[in-house]
Parts: sequence; C-alpha cells; structure tokens
Amino acid sequence: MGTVAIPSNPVPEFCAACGFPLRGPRCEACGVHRTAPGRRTGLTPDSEPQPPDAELEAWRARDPIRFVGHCIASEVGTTVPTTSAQEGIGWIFSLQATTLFVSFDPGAERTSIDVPLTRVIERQRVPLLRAALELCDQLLPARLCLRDDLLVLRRTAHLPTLTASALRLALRTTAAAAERVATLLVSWFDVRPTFSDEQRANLSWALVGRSRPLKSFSIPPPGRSLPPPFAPQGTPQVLPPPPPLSGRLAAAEALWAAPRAPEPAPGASARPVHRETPHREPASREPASREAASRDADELPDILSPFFVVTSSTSTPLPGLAAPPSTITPPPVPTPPTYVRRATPLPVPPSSPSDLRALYGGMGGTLGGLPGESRASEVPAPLVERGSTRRPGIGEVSSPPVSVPFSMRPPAASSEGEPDARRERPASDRFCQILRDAQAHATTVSIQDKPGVMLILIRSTVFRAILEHGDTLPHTVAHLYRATAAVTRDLAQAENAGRRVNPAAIAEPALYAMERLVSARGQVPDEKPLQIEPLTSATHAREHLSRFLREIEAAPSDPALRHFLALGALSELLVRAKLPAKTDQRLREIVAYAHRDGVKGATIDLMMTALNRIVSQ
Amino acid sequence: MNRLAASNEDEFNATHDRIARVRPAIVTLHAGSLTAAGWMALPNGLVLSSRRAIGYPTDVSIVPQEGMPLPGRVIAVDVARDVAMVLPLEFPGIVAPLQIRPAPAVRLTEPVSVVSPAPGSDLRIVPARVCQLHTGTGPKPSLFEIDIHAPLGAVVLDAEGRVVGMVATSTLGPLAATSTFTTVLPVPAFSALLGAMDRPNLELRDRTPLYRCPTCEEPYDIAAERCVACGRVLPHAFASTPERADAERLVRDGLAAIGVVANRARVSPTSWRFPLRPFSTAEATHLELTLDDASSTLTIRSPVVTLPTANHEPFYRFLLTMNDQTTGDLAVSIAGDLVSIGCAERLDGCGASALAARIEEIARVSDEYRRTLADTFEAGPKYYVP
Repeated sequence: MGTVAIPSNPVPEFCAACGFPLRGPRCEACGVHRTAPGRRTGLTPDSEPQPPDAELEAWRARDPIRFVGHCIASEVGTTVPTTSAQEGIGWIFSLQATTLFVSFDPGAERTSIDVPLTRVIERQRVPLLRAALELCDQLLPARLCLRDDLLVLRRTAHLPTLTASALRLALRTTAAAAERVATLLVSWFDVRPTFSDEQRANLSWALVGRSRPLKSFSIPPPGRSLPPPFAPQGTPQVLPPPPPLSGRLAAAEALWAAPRAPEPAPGASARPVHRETPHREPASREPASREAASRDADELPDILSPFFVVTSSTSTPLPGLAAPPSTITPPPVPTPPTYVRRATPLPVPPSSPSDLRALYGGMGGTLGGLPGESRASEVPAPLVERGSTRRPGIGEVSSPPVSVPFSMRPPAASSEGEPDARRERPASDRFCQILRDAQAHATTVSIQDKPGVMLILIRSTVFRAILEHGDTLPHTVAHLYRATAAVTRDLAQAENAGRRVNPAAIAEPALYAMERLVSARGQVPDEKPLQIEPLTSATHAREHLSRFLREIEAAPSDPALRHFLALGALSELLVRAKLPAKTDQRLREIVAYAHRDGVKGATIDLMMTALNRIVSQ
Repeated sequence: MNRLAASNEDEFNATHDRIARVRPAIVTLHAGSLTAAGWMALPNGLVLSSRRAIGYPTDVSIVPQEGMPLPGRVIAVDVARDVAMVLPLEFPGIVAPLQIRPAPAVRLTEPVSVVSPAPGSDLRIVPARVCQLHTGTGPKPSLFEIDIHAPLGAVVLDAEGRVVGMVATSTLGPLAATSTFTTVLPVPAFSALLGAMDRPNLELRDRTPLYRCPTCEEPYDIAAERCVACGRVLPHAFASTPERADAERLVRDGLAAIGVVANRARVSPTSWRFPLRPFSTAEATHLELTLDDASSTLTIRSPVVTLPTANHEPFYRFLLTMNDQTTGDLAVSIAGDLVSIGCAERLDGCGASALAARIEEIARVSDEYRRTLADTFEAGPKYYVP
C-alpha cells in the first residue's frame, strides 16, 4: 500500500497578492505565482518565484502594462495599483525608502522611472545645478533633470529591450542612486526633503513636476530603436515658461534664447495650459416650481430635454428649460462672433481659470449661459411637439441622427484647440491608446472581481472610441462595436443576461477583440457602416445612466478608472441620445474638458455631477 | 627644464648642454587619443617611436618642442622590435637629427640619460644606468635594461649625447613581468631599418606599414586578435581578456560596422576613442566608448561644447531641462569645462548593428546640440577631448 506525502506547508487557497481564489500554480486574476503566506512582504528579489521566462517575455510583447506591473509587484512585494500618468500608465510606490514614479508610455514603448529628489534652494541654486550636472556623468544610465525648481532623477528605457530582471534591476539601482544622490545633496547643500509628510501620505503625479521638452531639439530615438517613428505618446506640451522665481531668473531666462512655445497666430487667442482645478461657479438656485416643472413624469431633464425647447430672443431660461447648474458646466469656450456651433466635434474649453473668470465675469452673472447660446437663441425657433423631430434653428447645426453612418457624417471641425499631444498623434495611435488604457483598467477590475464594472468599462471604451474616432476610423470603430456587441447592448439586457451568464465570459471576447485591434494598430478591413441602437426616450436614458452610475460607484476607487468610466458614460449619451444642440454642446464641452485636464478630482467631480443631474432631474 | 633631475651641479651643467643640443629633435606624437614620445633620427625628418605606444594609426601629428605641429604618417613598423617610423608630410625645415652610436655596444653600469617630452612643453631628462644586458636569440633582438621607469619611445643617450637606444616594449616574455626596470632597444637592433629609410622625404611618403606577426613574421590584419598563420595572440596595445571577451567582440563588430578598427581606436583596456563624422560635411566628433567593470554596460560619450563664460545659471538650467525629455535616453553632463552628452547601453541582447546605429545617432545628436548650444549661449564647440 503506497503512502501519500502530506506537505508540511499546505498550499494556500488564495492568492497572496490579490486574494483571488487559487486553482493552479498561478493566480488567474493577477498572474502572481502561488506563494506561501507571509511571503508578500520582505521578499528578497532573487528568492522570489518568477513566472517562466517565456511567459514573461510573452507579457512584455502582448501586455506590457502587466509586464511592468508584475516587475514592480515582484520588487515591492505587493501589487501596486496603476494610475494615469503624464506619459501613460503609471505606478507610484516606495522602494528602499525612496518613492518611485514609474510610467509606461505605450505609444513609444518607453518606461520611465522618476524620483523627485529636492527643490532647488534659492541661495544655492548655481552650485546645486552645477553639482547636478557633474553627477549626471556618474549616474548613467540615469540622469538628473530639472522641472521648474524640482530636481528629479530620471531613467528611461525602451521596453522591448528590457528583460524582467533588467527592469527590476533598473528599479533597484535607480532607487539606490536616488538615495545616494539625495544624501550627497543634503551633505553638500543642506537641502530639504522633497515631500512633506502630508504629501507623502497622498502621493500623486503632480509631485513629480511637469516636464518641458524643448522644441528646438529633436528628441533622439530610443536606444536600439528598430521601430516606431511615433511621436511619443503622452508627450507633454511645451508650456510657456512658468512665472519666474525671481526677477533675476526671468532676466536670465530671457538671455537663453531658449526655445519657446510658438507664438499664437495673429488673431488667435493665446491659451496658456490649464494648470489649476476648474473654476466653479456657485450652484444656481432655481425656483422650486421650475425644478418641479422640469421633473414632469415623462419629461427629460433640462440638460437632455430636446422636446420642450422653446428658444427665445433672450437668454433667460424659460420654464422647463432651466439652465443647468454651473457646477456641471466646464470652462466655456471663448467663441468668436462668427462662430457657428457644430455638434460633432469636441469643443475646446478655455485653458485657464483666468479665461473662465473673465468669461463668466463678463456675463453679468448669467450662470450656465454659453457664448453663442444667446446668439442661437436670438433666432426664434418653432415650438416643437413632443415626440416630433426637432428642427434646428438658424445658425445652429444639430447632432446628426445616430443611425447615420459615421462615414457619412460631416467632417469634424478644426481641432486647433486640442492639446498638441492629442492633435499631433495619428488617430489610430489615439484609438489604440484608449484600448490600452481599457486593458490596464481591466486588469485592476478583474482582480477586484467586479463583473458589472467590467461591462461598463468595455462599454465606455467602445463609446469613447465611437465618439472620438467614429469619423476618422469608421471601419475600425465599426469593427470594435460589432465585436463587442454582447457587451454594448442595452445595459438592462446585459444585466439580465449577466444573471444567467458569467459576465467575465461576456467580457473576455471583447477584451480579446481589443487586443487584436491594438496588435493591428487599428487597421481592419472595410466594415459595414455603424448602426447604433439609440436611447429612445428620456426615461430610457435616465434608467440607463442610473445603472451606469451604480456601477461606477461600485468600481474600485482608482481615479483613473473613474475618470475613464465617467467619460465613457458621457460619450455613450452623446452617441446614443438625440440631444438638443445646447445640451449636446454642453456635454461635449465637459468631455473635452475632461480630456484636456486629465485625471483630476475636480474633473471627475464635474462629470459625475453632470451625470447625477441628468439622472435626478 | 622645471623638473630637471640632476644629482649635482657638474652633472647639471653637462645635462643642460646636452638638452640644448637634443631639444629640437625631441617630439611628441599624437595618434588619435594616444600620445607617445618620439625623436628625429634622420635628416629627412623621420621620427622613431614605440609601435605599441601609438597603436595602429595611419596619420599622426608630430608636435616638436618648438614650432607648429606637423602632419605625419607611419611608413614602416617592426612589430617584433616595437619600432614605428613616422615621416613628416611637411618638411620641417632645419632638422637636427640626434647623433647615433652604433658601436660600441653599451656596457653594464654605463651612465645614460633618458630624454622624453613632458606634459606641456617641457623636456624631461633623467639620468640612469644600464643594469642588465640581454642577448637576443633567433627573432628576439638584443636588449638592455636601465634602472628607472621611462615612457615608451623615449630616447636613451650616452654621456656624450649620442643615441644608444630607445625605450620599447619588452620582449623578454615571463621575465618582463618580474622586471622592475625599463627595457631599451639598442641601436643595432633598428639600425638596419633606419638605414633603409635614409632617403629623401618625398620618396618615402607613399610607403605604408606592414604589420607582421612577431613570432612567424607573417603579415596580420590589425582587426584580428590572433595571427591566422601561427595562431598566437597578436601584440596589440591592450590584450583581450576572457572576462571581457563578449563585450569586446561586440564593440569590435559594432565599430567595424561604421568603419572603425577597434584595435586602432582602443585607448585603454576598457575604452575606445575615435573620430566620426555625423555628416559628410560635418567636422568629425570624437566619441569615447567605455566598458564598466562588469562588462555589462557600455557608456558612449561625445563632447559637445565648452562652458560659456557667462550666464552659467541659465545654461545649467537649460541643460538640466534638456535632460528631462529632450535628450531621450541620453544625458547631458559637465566635467570641468566640458559639456558632453552620453548614454549607457546594456550589452546583453545588443547587436553590433544596433550598437553602430546608436553610436552614429549620438554623433548626430551631439552635432545638433553643439550647434544649438553654441548659437544660443556662445559656448565654444568641442569636438575632441585631450
């Protein structure tokens, strides 16, 4: 009779990294190998179990975000959540008592490790800058950089040339180098730590400073760069110089003859890049009767209601057409007098709070109004019966019906105000970036076992792609929509189906389709024109958004994910609902603003407030 | 004569006279990044030096103690005896070659002086004594040793100021490793070769050196590590080591891809320096490649500009801002007054063609940065690091 060996150290039942139930040697959720309890922290890098090399190599090629995330997790000892960084996907974590900001730029396939070291102190600035440049020679392949007055140790690497061990070694050596340099700078210049205790508790990408590529220098391609002639994805704009630290510095900077941001074209307004949280107007206090009127049983909320729109020669909101509270209004666009509103393109919000203040200040407290609205409303528009097709007024172009193929829609208007980084990159790159972002978020969501969130994540991806690239990549978008049809059908149907079918089983083909599209760089054969099922009534739209919001609230508290989902909800509304031009325009401004401002609490709040208002009114 | 070493006043005076006579004939040879001592041996301006000290150059700069540097060319070498002969391509004017003493041979304990150019424009003359004599057998020449350390290529004079030998690489084999003295090649060892070159300057200009294996006398390719005829390791200036074999092979192949012979560009066991033109019309930029201790990373550097005389703070700020995004994965750094650009390349998984492309890219980038920084900050362009 044979004996059965009983392991002295029973195999754990759950993943030590993410807690997902284990059914094999590796966690199905996060990919981490089965480890004994207590091994999550204090791991020595060399003793940690590693996935097979071939598997890691496959990750690097097919899922670089997961590859980088795994290397970081291996080094830190725990899973580090992803965030949206200036250059793409990011991770913020501490290693060897040093805080590292690691980002991955999918477009350029470049990984960057940034470590803020110290701020340049005024009285020692010249010696400190000189010392930093001298140290650069000894720190290769890392180097010291300056972002305003923040000294940052930076190391970049072309991901296809990195093995997992090399990336982990890079993390370790960069952390060690940063610690060494920081110690040196303290000894030489008595500099202070970069972060306060409060900042250390709430680390964000704002703490690593904003980089400033110099336009008169061409950025050399990465080492051993066989591929891509892409503009580095997420390449930040060249910003106008910040306010000088001192008059002397300003004078000195003038002597550089250093590259500057291009001068605005004659007649065009210079728009400094928005740096602060959006300006908020106080919430409007609408009369109760007006609110009650807007909540008629089958009436759309005012922001959605196209059917009761009565435009008048004045900009005063009429009953039933209460202007939406300004809290859901992004900084508006300064519009030239001859501006004709178009519904299709995403408008560009003003870039700075000063623009916003100037604009609102000039409106005499007429909150919620937008330039151009009063002009449009000056034209008497006919009353339209409920349920009938709304006729656009003069000087106003309504959204085309959603059933019209995108290839037949009018071309997008000039996108001069779009951020350079978005405008300069090919549409296919930007399209793929959306998919990559979604894949990164899907990793997080799958770990948290949130099937409902996974579904709205895919919806968000699809409708964002339709809204942003429907006119430039009609076939690609149509392919994506068709390949994800099981997920992008009506949310109520998806929910009901989800009770019978595992949502993960529905999501997997969609994610696979995205992967294929990314691999093909968005190039697909010709597809049939896109046919999207519209939201047919206000009630329908409210219910749909309500479900959407529930899932967003249930999503992991990752700002980047919430930003992505909220943007997706608004995009879907813009794509599927037939909105009045005013509402359409306003939502597009919000979307454009969210694109422009990136992942910020204020931006997310703005979108969530807009969605909540639509649902609740 | 700042560092003149003399034991007493009489000897000092005698030495002073000798220096006055030999000074015009002592030169410094610049062969790429290598520098060696040399001396004029013939009226046609022919300069003798150590072959190993100057590596495998074709063009050499001859820097006399006084006057302008002259372009020169290596016209003959004797690898076995470690002799290189460099002919000036421009006639140096009045040439006062050193007087040679073919006989009698040096004797043990004979007082001699070693004369060599010192850094700067000084001349260094050091008294010494012959402490060992070695009789050559077969292809090995006769040698003698002196009781001081002296640079390769330095000339050794007797008490009357006549040449009795030249400091050369030892061919003593294992004995050389244990010797604390300096090996000198006596005049008879190279007098025959010297006699063959005693011809008008113009007749010798078109000669090219032929490098022969010191063991089998077969010509060898300077890019090879071993003689194809006898299989022995060739006497390059810096021998390859098993620990760095892979890295050296990669560097050799990478440099070959851009037309640079690694053995010609090598300036130390772990570094190579060579000029490269980023464009056909651009001035050549000297690049330096350095292996790290583990031979896993290769650092590539190129000089860009010298530090401007004013506006240091904005200049530093500008360079550090460049380091952020503009330089990609390159880094701008400062050492002394020199601004250079460089990067560190991991060698595992790197191919020769990728390395060659990287080197050329850095040459182009440094050229672009040099022009822009020179225009913007009036920083002097820098192409070469001495």
